[in-house]
Amino acid sequence: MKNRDEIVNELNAVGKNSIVNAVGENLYTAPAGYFENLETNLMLAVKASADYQTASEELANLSPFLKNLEKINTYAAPSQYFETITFSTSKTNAKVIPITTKKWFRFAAVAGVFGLMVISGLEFINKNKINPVSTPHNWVEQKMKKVSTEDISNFINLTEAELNTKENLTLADNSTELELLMKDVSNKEIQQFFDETNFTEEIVLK
Amino acid sequence: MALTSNSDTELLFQFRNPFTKESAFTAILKKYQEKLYWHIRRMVIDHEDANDVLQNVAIRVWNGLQNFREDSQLYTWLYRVTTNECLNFLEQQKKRKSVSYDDVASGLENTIKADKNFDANKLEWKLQLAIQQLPEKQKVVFQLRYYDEMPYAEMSRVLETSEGALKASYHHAVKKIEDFMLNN
Repeated sequence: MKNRDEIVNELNAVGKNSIVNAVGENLYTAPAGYFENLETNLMLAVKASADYQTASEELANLSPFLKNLEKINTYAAPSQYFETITFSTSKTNAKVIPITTKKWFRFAAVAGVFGLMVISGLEFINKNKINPVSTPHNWVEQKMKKVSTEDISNFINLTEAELNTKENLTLADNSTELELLMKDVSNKEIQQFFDETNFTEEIVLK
Repeated sequence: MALTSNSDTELLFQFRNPFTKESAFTAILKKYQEKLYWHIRRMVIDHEDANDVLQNVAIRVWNGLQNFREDSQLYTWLYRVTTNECLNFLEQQKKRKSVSYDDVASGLENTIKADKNFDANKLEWKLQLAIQQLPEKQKVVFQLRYYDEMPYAEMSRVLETSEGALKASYHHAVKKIEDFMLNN
């Protein structure tokens, strides 16, 4: 109790007489019966911890079959491997990044190849294309190669028929119209008109 | 300069000194390389792949060890780096071959069967085939617990998953493997 006396003396010396009587007294209380089951509870907590058993004990409980199996190393390292192995730390100085892993490089390469294909295609198309302004005959000749003889024949027949019909109609219309216009005009006036205008075309009135 | 002490704390201290950095790095790898190699090998199966992954782990350790805060043990940190590197490797394989994890697992199964020592009648090889049936993360949990006997608390730091979830995952894995081995 030497320590207790020293503490009491020290408290008396600093004038704290009021707490001198409390020195050494336990102010806290534990639940009733707490210490009676403490050992069991602590043991349960230890058993519940993951590492309560060693790996060997755990395996014996889990699988006696595996526990009884001899742990043989099935794989073999080359002879003298561990004696001769060397580790290089120089790789750390220069990190090598393979060019093939760069995504932008792949995209650029694909775009380049695609561009070349497009340009080559356009060149090929333009090479076979004839300019209708500079070489119209060649252009017509090329276009006509694609048209069948039967189509050309049909086109000619159709065009001729149309032309004949339109021409006749026009002439007929012109004659009738001219007759109506000239109805009240005398031959003398017509002759005078010809003389003044020097019109040479011959007009035959019905 | 030869290192006399093999304690992780001492090695880390020496790693932070530019004059002893490389020798400390070599000593750390020398100390843990076999454990890490076999952890990788059981994940990727093929030796050449395991060697590639181990080299990548070494580079990551060289770059990251300077910032290692010693909140966890060095070997826990190394396992975390290694496990992540293994999972990255398997992920890259999936992407490279445009296949699912199941197809990668099937490829690993074929690699096991192609091993010159493979014997379908031996239980240890059957166990390797059974492990390939597990999902990727469950496989890691099983390997760490079964082969490395890693406590769940450590595993939780390696895989950044709760201890309860890891325990449940391991229990499922053991049951699946037992079923596979007894029924195939």
